[in-house]
Amino acid sequence: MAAAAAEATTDGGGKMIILISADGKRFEVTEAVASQSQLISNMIEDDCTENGVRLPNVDGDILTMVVDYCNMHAGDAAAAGDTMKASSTEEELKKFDAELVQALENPVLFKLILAANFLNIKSLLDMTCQRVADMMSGKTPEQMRETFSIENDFTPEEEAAIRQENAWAFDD
Amino acid sequence: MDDDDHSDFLDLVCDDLLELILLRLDSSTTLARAASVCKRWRRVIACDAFLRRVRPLHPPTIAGHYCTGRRTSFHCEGPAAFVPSPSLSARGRSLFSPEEFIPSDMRVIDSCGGLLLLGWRDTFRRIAVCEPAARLWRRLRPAAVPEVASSRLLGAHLLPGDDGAAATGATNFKVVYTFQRRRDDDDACHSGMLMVTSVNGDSSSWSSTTLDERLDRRNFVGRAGGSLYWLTGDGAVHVLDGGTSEVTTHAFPDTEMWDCFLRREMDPGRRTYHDTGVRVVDSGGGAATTAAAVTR
Repeated sequence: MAAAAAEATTDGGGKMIILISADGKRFEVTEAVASQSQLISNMIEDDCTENGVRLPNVDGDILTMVVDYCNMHAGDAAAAGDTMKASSTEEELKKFDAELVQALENPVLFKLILAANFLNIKSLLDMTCQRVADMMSGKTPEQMRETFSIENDFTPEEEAAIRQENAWAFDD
Repeated sequence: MDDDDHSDFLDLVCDDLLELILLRLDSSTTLARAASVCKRWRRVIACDAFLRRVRPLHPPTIAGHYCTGRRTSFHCEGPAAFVPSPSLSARGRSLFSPEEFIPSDMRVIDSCGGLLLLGWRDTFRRIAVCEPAARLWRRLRPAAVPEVASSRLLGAHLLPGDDGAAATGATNFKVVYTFQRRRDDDDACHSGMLMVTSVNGDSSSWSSTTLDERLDRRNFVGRAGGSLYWLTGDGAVHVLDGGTSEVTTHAFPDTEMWDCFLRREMDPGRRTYHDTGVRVVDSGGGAATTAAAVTR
């Protein structure tokens, strides 16, 4: 899947760079695709991508998703350059984004947030953070803890006091 | 993914990222619930910097209004009635119902944000601020300054606290008292005093100002941008700046209509003030607009 994603972009033209994940997987992408990461964009400007970009914080399976995402979104980032084919319509992009975040299990979703933050890809970070926020909507604190496997570290007295203070936010 | 990833993956996310997520919650209700999840979430949400960022994203919802009925001098005559907004849940209705939390001998004097200013008839020494939603009470003991001891309380008003945004609970607010000074010489008939008590957390402070006017309930014309406005007999507008607690005086817009209107409605010779029909309203961004209903 990773290799397919990398190959699919070569027809876009432009200089290629290699991204190397924590577990050593290599992804070949165009500079235009990789530049959606502000971190890599800065590295390209500084001319230090010659020997590949090592990303010790990002696993191969997460980087696969990031590269897929960047390939899909390269169109809007590079729309100014007329040599670049607009790779997807707006509608397709929305569908792709929705399917991407909907399908994610929690640990993967959080790793994707960390990767988006580390690579500084704002649109991906916004989208993944929004997904987590949406998962909290309409839930009670107990349900939130269950959803995110969080331990309740309040004492019963503290919890009762907090509930009293925010009584308006609870239905029961 | 390994199974053990499930246990504490959220711990990987630093506070900055947790903030980004919490800023995207759909409502202040969800935010309040999130603050009850664990100590870390509560710490991040309760942080001042976070609250300043998140507050503008969730405009306050109005649960309803308290109706106090006709006012006599300082207090209203009867207990307040709660008029809920149509969208308020049954639980909300009982939460804000005065019978549920206001002692029967207490009267609502003013409100600001989600806070109520309450007192007992004929004394300002027993006054309290209550946050109905949380059932939090803060009793106030106005400073026992000599000037106050020899003055009569005319009115009391509640203003947001120092952080400016909105009253943020029963821990951060200001109470403005207006007094009429009792002195023997006749010149003092119109003189008054104003005292501001600022409460922020556990600390409170007060300041007082002597004025040439008595600022009565009846010549109070409204509030805007955290400031209070009074219009007195000679067409002067007195403005208390809620931020600085200072009073400035301005002339009422000088047009023929206003002059005629003010002379008729606010005869200084009689030393009584009718309801002038003039109101200051907040027109957004802290600007004040004066509106008047004129009858012929």
